Amino acid sequence: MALLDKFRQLADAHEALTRLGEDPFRATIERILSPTEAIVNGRPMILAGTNNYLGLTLDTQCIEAAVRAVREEGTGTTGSRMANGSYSGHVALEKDLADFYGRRWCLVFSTGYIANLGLISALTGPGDVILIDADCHASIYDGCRMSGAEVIRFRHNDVGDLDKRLRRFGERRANALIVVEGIYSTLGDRAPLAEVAAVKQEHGACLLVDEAHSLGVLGERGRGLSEESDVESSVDFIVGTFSKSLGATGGFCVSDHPEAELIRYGSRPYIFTASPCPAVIASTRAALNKLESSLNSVSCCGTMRGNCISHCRRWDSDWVPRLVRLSRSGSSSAKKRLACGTPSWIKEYMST
Amino acid sequence: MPADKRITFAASRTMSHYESILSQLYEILGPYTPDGHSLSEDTEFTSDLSLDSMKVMQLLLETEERFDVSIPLNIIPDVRTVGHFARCVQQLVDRG
Repeated sequence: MALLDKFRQLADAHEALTRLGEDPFRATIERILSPTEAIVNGRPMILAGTNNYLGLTLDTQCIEAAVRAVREEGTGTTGSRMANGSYSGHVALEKDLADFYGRRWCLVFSTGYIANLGLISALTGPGDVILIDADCHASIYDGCRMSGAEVIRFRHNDVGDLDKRLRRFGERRANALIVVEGIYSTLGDRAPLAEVAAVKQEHGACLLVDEAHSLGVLGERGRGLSEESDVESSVDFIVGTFSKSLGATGGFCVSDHPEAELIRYGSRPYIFTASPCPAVIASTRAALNKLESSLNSVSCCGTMRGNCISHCRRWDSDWVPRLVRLSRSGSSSAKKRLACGTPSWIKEYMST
Repeated sequence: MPADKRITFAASRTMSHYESILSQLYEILGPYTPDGHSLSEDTEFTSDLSLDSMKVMQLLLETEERFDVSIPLNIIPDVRTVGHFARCVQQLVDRG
């Protein structure tokens, strides 16, 4: 059937990987032992690929909050906030996050992916320009595609290239949105945010920073690279996720622009997705509260990292993720890690 | 100059510009071209050159640097042939 022919390439690639031995994509986490350990394919392993930066997935207070919410409000919301209304927890979490970032507005989305999709596609449209760092996450690329705006990539972390490309747009720079990440998901490096913010100011563009990996990790109060770089006032929109430091699932955007509150009325991914379930909202609020109330989030993160390193030493294994260019050798590397008890989940660049 | 001559002159300048871009694209595409395959305006990126999305991104970057333009990602899905790509680059160069 011609419709399905396009899957042949993926099937061939997958078959080639499985011929090498154990399929790294089928590593099943059978039982969680701790925030960093699990039984995987029948063996105890260190979850070196986890984004559970603060180890809050098994925090007692977060679990209790989630259990209470399930008992009182049920397992799901069964619909979107536009259609069914907001639970009080949704509204409270948005206030918590706005307060945490010291911003006026906050929107909560059902996943981090949808946060980027929903925000970027609502902020920009035909006639606008989006300049994205080449290494931005797929959700940013997909949000750009959905927006209908003109999308330009600039070289990863190359502020000179960003500046040059902005200049080419002349007066259209007023319609430009720059998108970067606090910490880039694949390589783990940081954006040169102070320089990006300076270029943004010079050209009068808007700046969106995805702090998915930097929330709770960078900055004195854990607000991310924008805080650490002391450029929060230059960042128009911050996007983040609950699925890393906060140990749940979901996403959000905070801003001081009053138009941000209107995004929820025009963002199709926001309007047409079922809202986050009560347990997720409750555990996220508890996690955020825990993060806020800790005197020093960095030390909390440091403790987590220290735990992970000591576990790895116990298993006598290397845990630092690394980039392997070829997919086959990448999978082979992941297999070796799986065999020695440190599954570093690999992401294959899905060239199409 | 008569109107028809002006048009011819403009067309010839445009053609020359286009051909210059085309020949530079052939240079850039050289490393991406399978052995024994010759490039033409009708060469297709997917079926003839088997370029995957990663290679397309690299090609985009090299083309942008050669012609000092920014190529919107939006145009990529519609560009099938080298000739079509050359015309897109020409439009961007002319736009300044």
